[in-house]
Amino acid sequence: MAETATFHYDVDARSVGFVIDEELYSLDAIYGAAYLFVDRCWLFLDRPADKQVQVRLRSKEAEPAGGTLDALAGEFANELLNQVLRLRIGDSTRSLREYTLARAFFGDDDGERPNIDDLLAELDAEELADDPLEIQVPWDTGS
Amino acid sequence: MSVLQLHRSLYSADAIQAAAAAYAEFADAITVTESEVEYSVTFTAPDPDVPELLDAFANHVLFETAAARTA
Amino acid sequence: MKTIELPRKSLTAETLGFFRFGEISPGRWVITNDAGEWEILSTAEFDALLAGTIETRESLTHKGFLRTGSDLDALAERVRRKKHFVGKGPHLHMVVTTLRCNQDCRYCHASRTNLDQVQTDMSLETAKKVVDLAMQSTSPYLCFEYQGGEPTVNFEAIKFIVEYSREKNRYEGKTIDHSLVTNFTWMDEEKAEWLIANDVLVCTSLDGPEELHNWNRTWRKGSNAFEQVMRWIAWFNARYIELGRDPKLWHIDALLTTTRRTLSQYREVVDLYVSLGIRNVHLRPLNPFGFATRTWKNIGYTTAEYLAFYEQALDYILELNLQGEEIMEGTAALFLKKMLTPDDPNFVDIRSPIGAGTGGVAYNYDGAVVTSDEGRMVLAMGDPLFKLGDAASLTYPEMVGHPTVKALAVASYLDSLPGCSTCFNAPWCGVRPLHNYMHTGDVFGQRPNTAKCAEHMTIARLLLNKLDDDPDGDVRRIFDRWTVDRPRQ
Ligand code: SF4
Repeated sequence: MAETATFHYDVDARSVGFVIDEELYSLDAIYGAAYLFVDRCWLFLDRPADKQVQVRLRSKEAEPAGGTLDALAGEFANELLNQVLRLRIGDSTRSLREYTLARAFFGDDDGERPNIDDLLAELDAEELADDPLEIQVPWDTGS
Repeated sequence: MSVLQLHRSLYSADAIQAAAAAYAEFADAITVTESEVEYSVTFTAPDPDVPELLDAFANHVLFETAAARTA
Repeated sequence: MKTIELPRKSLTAETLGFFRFGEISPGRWVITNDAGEWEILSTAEFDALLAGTIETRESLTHKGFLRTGSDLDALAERVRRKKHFVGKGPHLHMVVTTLRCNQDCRYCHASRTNLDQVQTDMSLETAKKVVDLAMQSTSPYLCFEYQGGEPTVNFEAIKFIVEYSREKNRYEGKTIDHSLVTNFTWMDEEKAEWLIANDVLVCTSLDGPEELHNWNRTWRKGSNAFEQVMRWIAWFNARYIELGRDPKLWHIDALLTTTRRTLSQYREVVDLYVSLGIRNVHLRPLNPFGFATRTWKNIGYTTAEYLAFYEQALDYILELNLQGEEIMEGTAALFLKKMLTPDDPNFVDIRSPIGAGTGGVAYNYDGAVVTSDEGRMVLAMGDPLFKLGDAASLTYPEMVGHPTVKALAVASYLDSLPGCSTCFNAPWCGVRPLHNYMHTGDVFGQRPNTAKCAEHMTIARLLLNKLDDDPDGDVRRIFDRWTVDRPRQ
């Protein structure tokens, strides 16, 4: 059964505010999500407590139409989840991507870069051993 | 005079400086002081024709902070 | 306090290759990677991909989206091919042979003077320096594009550059095209015959039906700019046929400038282009900087208005294609070449990094070398930021290694820009540091606030959604045709 992520937010006449647990959602995910709203909102980050980030999204419209703020809150929460996925895919594929780009732009192996078999073997070993990127652990319980 | 407070652990000093340079024309002076927890950005004689100056400034600092982390 | 509950996707990252993703319409997800490969998945398929439970498909493995069985070396080769332009050197050399012009168009700012201003003609000495510099480019293909003012007012400079570059090329062995953008109001048969005999590609400005064209393009009193354009299009097209040239390859092309009045007349514009045998309507929004507020009110529009127009026009063009007409939309065709072929069209304004100074350069009439035609406009407005030097003294390494060129490359390298680095559109998109600079004083723009981001995002979504909702493959067949370039020689 699909798990759910729960977000709480407050809403006033012109803004919505979330308090986000940094242990669950990294700062990079929070910045990444917030940044995508700079065309529609004024954004303010604050830290109400250790490991917590408050994100306030204030509509650029002085009197946002009914329902827009709740929709905005929904979009932000959704984007936050997407950002987490993006970062985790980026992290866990970093060495594969670096290999591909190096190979694409700097040509053939000069003997110093690992070949692809070594790289994949290394990745497997890492994943089985200490799993530094925690890619085997479902992200929500990985903290 | 208007003051904007930005938490040190969430906004970078370089980003604030970059935003201050970008927004220099909208105030007589933009000065930044810091305490243990936050930066205070003071706008002396902010341009009255830009009513949401502090909001736009905060967005710009967010953008610069995010940009520095992406690069 | 309110609460939102959202489904949380589970991730088994070790089964995946690198990709970016986005929801292009409700329940439809696109995944893309650095080679420009893509797939569209339903939410259930996307979730299964992330969870590592998707049924293995050849396409997902081949494209590198699934890790097991993927061939990274082959993927690297495809990335290399996509990014073939990196390090190649500028191929597009835009030469302003004069600022003089006999028209006074509503949207032309800072880039024209009256006909008596002969001091704004490019001298042959400067033209020679321009060719000497341009031909040092490491690109094996060059295109000299003549602009103005009205470039044919200084026809001598065009002739000189065509002949001198041909002479020089006997030792260089490059492929060289020459392309002229003209309003046809200074054309005569002698010039026309010379252009044809010398294989100069001719492109005119055609803004739509008579009333619209003449409203945009003010000419001398009592004259009709539209009639002039019609007359010369007919003359050239007939002459190409007389000379036995394939009319599919040799005909007059046209460039459209979209003003406020164009928005409601997209059908008429497209119909006119079709009736003239023009196969490419290249829709582009006006650059809103540099206009007086009053002028902009008259001719300008919002990004949302432009995009609504774009969508309608694209739909209409597709409708005509389904009826058998061969007409394409130019910006869509550029994106489709990136999406549907292993190559990149190397369009200097839509690539990462941008081609300003590394894919194209502009030469002003006085020999000033600038990163782009828009950079030349900014220079004419008194800001030298985009000037790289003078053709008389600038060396090729100085030109391509100029700090401004480097800054523009950094500011347009999508992998390092927040918002872009994770955007599904990154393999195909390109940002415009000069526009950002003109709007905010900073070459790094806040992406979601820029008109180009909205435009490119909309176009990519439109195209992908059309390809996704194509049960009979009709759209794909049409789009495939739009990606085919037929060489003239
Ligand atoms: S400019 Fe916009 S559409 Fe293009 S890659 Fe960046 S975020 Fe995506």
